[in-house]
Order: sequence, then structure tokens, then C-alpha cells
Amino acid sequence: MMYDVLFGSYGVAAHLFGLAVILAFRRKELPASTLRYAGIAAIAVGLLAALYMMVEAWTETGQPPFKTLYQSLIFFSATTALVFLFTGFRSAVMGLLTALFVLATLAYGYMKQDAEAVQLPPALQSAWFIPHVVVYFLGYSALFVSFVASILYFVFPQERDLPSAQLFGTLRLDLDHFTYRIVLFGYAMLSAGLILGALWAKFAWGDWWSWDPKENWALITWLVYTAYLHFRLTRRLGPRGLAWLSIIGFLAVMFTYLGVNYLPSAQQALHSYSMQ
Amino acid sequence: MTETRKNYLMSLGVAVGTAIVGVVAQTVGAPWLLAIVAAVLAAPGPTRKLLTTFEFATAVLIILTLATAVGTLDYALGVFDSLWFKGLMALMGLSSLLCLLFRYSSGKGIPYVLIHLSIIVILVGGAMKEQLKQTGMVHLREGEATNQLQLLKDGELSSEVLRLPFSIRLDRFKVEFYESDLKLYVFRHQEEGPAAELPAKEGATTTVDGVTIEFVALQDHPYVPTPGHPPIQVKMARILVDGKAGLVLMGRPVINGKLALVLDEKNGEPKSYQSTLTILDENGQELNTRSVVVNDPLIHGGWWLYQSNWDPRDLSYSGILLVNDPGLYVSIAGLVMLVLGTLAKIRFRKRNREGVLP
Repeated sequence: MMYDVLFGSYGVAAHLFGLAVILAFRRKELPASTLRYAGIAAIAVGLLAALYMMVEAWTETGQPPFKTLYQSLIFFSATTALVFLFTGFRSAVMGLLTALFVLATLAYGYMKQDAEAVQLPPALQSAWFIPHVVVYFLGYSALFVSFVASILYFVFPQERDLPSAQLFGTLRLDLDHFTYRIVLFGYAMLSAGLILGALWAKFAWGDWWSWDPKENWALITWLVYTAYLHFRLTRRLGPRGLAWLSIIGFLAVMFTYLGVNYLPSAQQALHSYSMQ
Repeated sequence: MTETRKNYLMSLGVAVGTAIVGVVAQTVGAPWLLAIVAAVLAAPGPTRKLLTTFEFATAVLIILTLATAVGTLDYALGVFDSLWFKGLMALMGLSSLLCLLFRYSSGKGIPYVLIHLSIIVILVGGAMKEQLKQTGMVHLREGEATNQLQLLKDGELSSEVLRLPFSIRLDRFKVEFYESDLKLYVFRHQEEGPAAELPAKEGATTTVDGVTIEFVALQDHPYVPTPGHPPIQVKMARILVDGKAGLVLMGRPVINGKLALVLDEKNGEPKSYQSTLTILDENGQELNTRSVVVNDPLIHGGWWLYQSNWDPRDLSYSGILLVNDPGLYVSIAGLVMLVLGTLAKIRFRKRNREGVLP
């Protein structure tokens, strides 16, 4: 079953990266580096498994595989793997945290798994649906990587000597700068997702903004990262403060994605996933 | 006190002051009071200087963030309809505007202008929507035409009627459903709702209270309702209950110990609602005919016509929502500027001496 491959590959990746981190701390550079490459391969397998499941679901139902929370979490694992493979791959620690995070989201998705394929209601049959979801999830995944970098900042502040070069590849990483660049990308995706959502809402419901709980939390997330960028660009906050803001920003992202459904006001919300 | 702290305190004062004016303006019904506040703040002087500071911009961002969170937690507070919240949004626009006018330097680049300008444009579009938008419903049966729009006020249908400069005729209304779903339902004795449901697929299995039920095949079965009459074809499920073969006829419960098995077909959910509409001018001349479905409105002279309502008991009825938002294209222009500005800020390649990239 493809789900086992998906879950298993991140489990394997977590073990490989975990071992790599331990070896790196013991300054065994070569095996650490080899294990890290093996971890990257395992994440790539997980990405392919998620894509396979999505294509399968799409061809089976004829509907884009984003309708249910379970499906969306599988797609989220794919975008997170993709962003990791482009940005964080030099770091075994980042690989470990990415694999653990994906495992947690997949486990949550498994708990919320749908009993049957849900029939797409008319409001979701829209050309805006796929770009809206894809852009947002790319943004969410990028902001996850920046969140991990911010947490690592507290573990390895840039002034200190790193235990091993292998933890961050051969180059030493300026975590503050790394976070900033990924937030720039994530922020652009949040803006684009917000705008695609607004245009879609205009076509579906007649209003491009209606203060729906999901919209509001998307706005809150956007405002937090707007504040982050203002503080970063003017250097009014030091790296510590910025790392905190980036962590708060990602917590807002997670709340927008998964928490809004639990708000009392979400009952009338237009965005709620079918929670089984 | 440091300059930064002083600026933050003063910014907080301006925000709170604006919110108070908003509350007063709402109470006495004079929204233009906010415009006066904005004019005073933007006039040359120490407050305008404060409004161009970094501290003011970030203070407004943080206050708006918190206010949005509180308003979402409890809609009964009416945050998003309140003038104090709108006043805060106006402060964000004012701050963006003054930064553009007095803080811009060529080193900041085009994205800086695009993003800050987009905030102002979006807010102006939103304000135009707020003030000028008209929304209403027309209720039609197939063949009927009307130019009477029943207006919506605050999301509720009102008794107020607007005469449109055109008529809308409903030519045809059609609902399509997803394929119906045939399933075997397992009920427990004296318990409401099925304990389990089994899709009509070979090999589908479920276990309820230690009894394993497996679906084997679906076939048509000749059934004689009254002796002497010709048989009718009824769907029948062949199943295995704990390995023993059994039959369940459509709609006829089979009792097995404390369990009841029912083969039933549920109607699928609606797949699409489609109204074919014709727009007529005042003389009854046909101007436009198009079918309207959810997510695909008909646009005519500033009015957007949406498929919005139906009546399961009267399939010739269709409810059409009409929206006219004169600020729409202003808002869209702002939204597009925001995306272009933020996309232009992304740096894909390593740029300069920092050379510390992953």
C-alpha cells in the first residue's frame, strides 16, 4: 500500500538523519555525510509516493485530490519535501526535523482519514481551486523551513562554533539570513494565495472579502510576516527577536490551516474541511 | 525614555484615539468624523512625522492583528462592522501613503512602491465596496422574468426593492446529482443510525460485534410482490456472514441475531446547479443568454449574476444573487500590485558578500 511507502520513507529518513546528527556531533564526518545523502533519498521517495497517491486519487475520482483534510495533508507532505530538497538539504538537523514534522502531519491526517471519497460540491468546482491550494501549500512549507531555521537559531546562534560542519553541510549557515530569504518566498506565496482566494471568492460567492474565519486567520498570518519583514529590513530587531517573530508566524500558519476548524465561529465558515 | 519607546507610546495613543473617535462616530452616526481625524493626522506637523515612523507602521500592524484575532474569536463583538476597526484600517492606509510620500528613496526600489501603494488601493477598493455595493436576490420560476431586485441588507433579505435597468428571465433550471450510492447498512437492535456501512464492492468486509460480513456480488433478482403477478427485477446482494452465504434484497431488512442488514440506495449529493438566463432590455429585447452555474456568474453592466439558491421541492425555481460592486476593479488592481510587488522581492540566487547560503 502506497501510504505505507509514504509513511515508511519519512520514518526511514528520520532515522538516517538522526544517526547523521549523532555522528556529526561525534565528529565522524564521512559516515554522517553519507547518512545525510541517504536521508535525502528517503525524502525523495516519500515525495514520489505522495505524488503517486495524488495522481491515483485524481484519476480514480476525477477530482483534484485536495478536498479532504487527509488528502490535503498528503499534498502538504509533498510540498514540504520539495521545499526541503531545494533549501534545507545540506543540514542533517533540518532533515531530521522535516521528517519528524511530516510524520506528525501524516499521522494526524491518518486519524482524520475519510471513510469514502467525498463528492466535490459545486462551490469547489473551480479553476481557482488548484492554484489557490498549490500556492498556499508551497508557502506553508517554505514557512515551515524558516520556522525550523528559527528554532535552530536558538540552538546554534551564529557566533558560536558549530559542533560539526556536517550539521549544516560544508558551508556555515547564517540562520538569520536563511530564514529571511525563505520568508520572502513564503510571504510572496501567502500574498498570491490570498489574492487567488479573493478572486475565487468573488466568482463563487459574490464578494472578494467577507471576514470569514479562515480569511481572517490568513490575514493575521500575513500581517505577522509583514511585521517580520519590516523588522528585518530595517534591522530594528536583532536575530533573536526575528527568530521569535518567525516562530509566531508559523504558529499562525498552523492555526490557519488546522486550528480554525476548532473555532466556535467556524461552524458557518465557508472554508471548513469536512471533519469526520 | 528612548526615541523608539516614545514613538511606540505615541503611536499607541494615536491608534487608541482613532478607535475612540470611531466608536463616537458610530454612536452619533457621523462616519465623516474619521475623515477629519485622518486629515488632521496627515497635515504637516508632529503627528504626520510620527505617522511616517517605523514605530507607527509596526504598531498599527500589531494592533490590527490582535483586533482581527479578537473579532474572529467572537463575531458577536461586531469588530468587522465597527467604525473603530475601519478607523484602524484607515490608519494602515494612511501610514502606507505617508511612507510612500515622505520616506521613499530610489534605493528602495519598485517593489517597495508597489506593495505600499497596493495597500492603499486595496483599502480604497474595500471602502468603495462598503459604501456603494448593492446586493439582492431575484426569485424566478422557469419562464418568468423580472426587473425587481429584492435587496439584501447586512446579509438579510429586506423588503426594499430595486428596479433594475434590465430584466432577467429564467429559461431553464437544472440540477445534476452525483451517482447514487448503493450500500449495505448494518444496524444494531434498537440503535439509531447504522453501526457500519459496506460499499457494494466485491470483497468489502466489516465486522460488527464480532460478526464478520463480506460483500460477494450484486445481482438482479426476479421478485414477485403478489402471487400471480409478473415478477419485477430487484437488486440483491449476495453476502457472507461469518463465512456463511446469505442474501439481502433491496429495501428488505434481514435480521441476523441482534443485527439487521439493509441494502439501500442513497441519492448522490448535488453536482451542479444550472440556470439558463436571458437578459432583456426595457423594451423586452433579448441582450444576452447564458447558463449560470456556481463559480461562473453572468456579468452584465456592472452586475454579477450568481446561481445561489434552489428548492428541492420545486425544481423549476432558481434563486439568483445579484451583486454590483463599483470598487471591484480598484480592489483587483491593488491585489495584483501586491502580488507583483512581493514576487519581485524574492531572491532566488545568492547575491553578495554574505555567501552563507545553504
